Amino acid sequence: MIKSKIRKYHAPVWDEPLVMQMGQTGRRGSIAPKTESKIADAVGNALDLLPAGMKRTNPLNLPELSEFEVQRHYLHLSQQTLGMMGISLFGTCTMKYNPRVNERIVYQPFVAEMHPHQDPETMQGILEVVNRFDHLLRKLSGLDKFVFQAGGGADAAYTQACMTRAYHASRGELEQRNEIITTAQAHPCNPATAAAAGFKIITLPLEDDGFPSVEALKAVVSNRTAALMVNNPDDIGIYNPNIKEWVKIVHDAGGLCFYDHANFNGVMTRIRAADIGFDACMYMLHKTFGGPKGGGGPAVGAYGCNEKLIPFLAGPTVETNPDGSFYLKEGGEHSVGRIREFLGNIPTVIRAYSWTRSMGIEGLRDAANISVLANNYMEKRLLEIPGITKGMPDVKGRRLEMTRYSLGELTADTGVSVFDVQNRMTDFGVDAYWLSHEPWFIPEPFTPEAGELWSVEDIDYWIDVLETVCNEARTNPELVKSSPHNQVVHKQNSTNLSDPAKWATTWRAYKRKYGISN
Amino acid sequence: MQKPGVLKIGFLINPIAGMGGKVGLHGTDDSLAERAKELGAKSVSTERASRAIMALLPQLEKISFYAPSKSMGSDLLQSLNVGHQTIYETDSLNTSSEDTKAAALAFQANGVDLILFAGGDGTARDIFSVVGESIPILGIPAGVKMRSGVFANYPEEAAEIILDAIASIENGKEIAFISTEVLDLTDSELDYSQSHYFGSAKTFLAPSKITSPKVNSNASSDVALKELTRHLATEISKDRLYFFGPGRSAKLILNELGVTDLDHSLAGVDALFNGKLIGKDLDESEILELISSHSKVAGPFIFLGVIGGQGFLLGRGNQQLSHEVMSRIGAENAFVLASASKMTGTVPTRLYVDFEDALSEKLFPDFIQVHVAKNRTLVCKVVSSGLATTNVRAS
Repeated sequence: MIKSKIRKYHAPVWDEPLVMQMGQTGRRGSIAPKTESKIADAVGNALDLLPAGMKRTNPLNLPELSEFEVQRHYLHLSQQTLGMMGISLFGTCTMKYNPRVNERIVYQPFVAEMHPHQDPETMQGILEVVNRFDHLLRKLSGLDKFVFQAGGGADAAYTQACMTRAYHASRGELEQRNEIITTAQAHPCNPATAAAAGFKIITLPLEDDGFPSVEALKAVVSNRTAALMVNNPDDIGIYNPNIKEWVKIVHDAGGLCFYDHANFNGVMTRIRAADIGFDACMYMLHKTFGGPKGGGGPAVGAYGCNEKLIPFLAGPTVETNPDGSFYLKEGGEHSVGRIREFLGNIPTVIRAYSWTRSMGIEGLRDAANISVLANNYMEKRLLEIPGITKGMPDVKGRRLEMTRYSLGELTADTGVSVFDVQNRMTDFGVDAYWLSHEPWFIPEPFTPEAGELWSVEDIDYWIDVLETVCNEARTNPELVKSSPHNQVVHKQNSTNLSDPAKWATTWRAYKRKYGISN
Repeated sequence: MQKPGVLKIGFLINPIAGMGGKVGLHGTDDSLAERAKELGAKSVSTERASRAIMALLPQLEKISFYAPSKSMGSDLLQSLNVGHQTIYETDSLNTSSEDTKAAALAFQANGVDLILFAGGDGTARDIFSVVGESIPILGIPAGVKMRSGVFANYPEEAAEIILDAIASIENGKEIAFISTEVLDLTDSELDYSQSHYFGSAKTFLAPSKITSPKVNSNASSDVALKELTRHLATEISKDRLYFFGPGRSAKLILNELGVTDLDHSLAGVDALFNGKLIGKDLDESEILELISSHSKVAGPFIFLGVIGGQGFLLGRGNQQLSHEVMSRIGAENAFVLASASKMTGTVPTRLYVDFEDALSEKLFPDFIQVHVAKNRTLVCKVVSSGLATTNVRAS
């Protein structure tokens, strides 16, 4: 039952050219006054002050526009972003509003103009924030030390893979322990980073109850096991209740256990990685902890580990002097070295610290509760829409903060695919949904996630739009298949995306591939 | 199928189906049947059909059987004391596809609710060519190839589907059917990697009990599999006997070793020793002979693919790799490889092993690793014929 009045929407269509295709020869944004003769006499020809080797022989090929034209161009581009400020239930990404106050803080000169090579004595405030946030995450995870170098979740998973290598090497077991076990539902960054670090990957399949069996794990654990890398819950929202036993099985065999805690939102303050027995975990500050994501800002994968693994951490780490001041300590002899330059994306650590402090423990607990409640509210309404089914429908019990659904029945009835519905939803001014990570073991998947941000009106409106589109699929399937119609661009021929001869991500490549001179 | 309590089943055995399997003939069409008998093949379809019928015995009073005479159905039903009506007289002992078609016509004339047959893709095609989508078709897997989507995973599961249907009728519930693909090689050419689509048949909706239609191989275009096979080719050791199962995945290794498609058999089992192909398109006895004649060197090793979309490791198109062959080689010397996209489409992920003998001793552990790339495996639960029912339920 559609609850809201579906609003009219139409995005501006500018068919905006590339900036390189705009302007006229000689047009300028601002023109500097001519050098006064007295200055010229005193200084001489300014060009002569440049070393000969630095002088261009050809003029630089830049667009030539007035300041106003540049402003107008970027206004148009901002109107063509296809979302991020609409209702965005983009699952597995925990879309959150990034409070402006935090943005204001990180734009202040004491953050924005800090130089990473400054003497640590002159960046005590920043180091204190890093140190305090490290301690906050220790409380939330039960682990013993966090670092923020990794530039995203996959980078943190790679940190784990490198730590696994260093740990077993220090014990003389690296050659023997060359297998990392993961599951079919773990985020693909886990097997990918483990493979990049040189490990063999063993992937456990899901069983009928929504997670791999203990028997399957036992069948592959051995003295070759280096580590286990898993998510829990995964994006079908099912929590593996045997996880403590899993960790014990792997530990008993001498392996390490890493918790990919990207899906932390639904279990914040309820589950601590260390209490389950994990040696390390990862949180995404640009998702769960209120930092901007998706091009909105740089990401951070916060990586935490227990005492056993601290000697292998990437340096430099922030440490406390006896007088309470802070210093940077390079990694020791067993350290994996640097994962990334300097301390990581400090502005996002500051945003996350600010967000977490303003939420408080009670706030985090409320947020976790609300995100699970919102997901279950969504489930009830979504399953009332004909053609939508739940991933692994036979698994009893409530799902956590997200659920993977299938439009397979709608597609079978109408020929309208999950991509068509995704395109058409954007015609109503809501953001496109996330489909699902590979592998797609259910047909036509989509994975919405409400988190704690979105109001019940927003969630209802999003569902109303989806239901409207599902109705259209039955009454006018061509309308949905040929969408979007109200967006900044209309349906694209996606085969161009897989044809290297046609795509171009730079102006130079565009000119080369399309035979444009100059 | 709305008559409460009574299900009218048209039951048919293709007595020559499956005979070509162990003798490596990739099928048992009329022309190949004589050859199969010369090679000493035994009728397997009657035996497998009887496994299904026996599983139906407890509910016999709810079923009316219609069957062609003699070896095409009547003999078996009689031997099991199952009452039935003979609806078609076969002319001779040597049955043909014309007999199958004529029996299908007779089923139609008698208004059966479903056709239960023991055979392979050829039998499915013959029945389908007569009844189209008008009558649901359910296959007891008894052929060499079973690429069509009408076959139960195992004979006993064909019976379970029928028992479920009877229960539905008794509970006043609709029985769910689906359209599925009838697939086979074409008559003219034997391009093993491709199947020809003969049309859309009607069968029961029972995804866990009916094998999905075969998906054409994408092994050649899978770069991760290519890298794996290149690596495996460098790991082949001297003085060891290697077998390569049917299908593209295993044969990619031979390609990497310089054996072209013209020199090996894509559809068959080939053998390699010290860099030389010493056996091509081997049948069961030839494989056993090679194992015996190489008993002085390191134990034999086999590379096995998985049938795309169907999840079968053994028992579909590779019956020459019999229980005896595989026990001589040993499960620990079987290296299973497949394209990742073949393996990840379904939950739960199962690998089926269906030896002709229902009581054959379990050979594989409960879980084996399927190699999908260099240094990358997917763990699969192995479900073995005969043990099938308990295994599937236990999960």
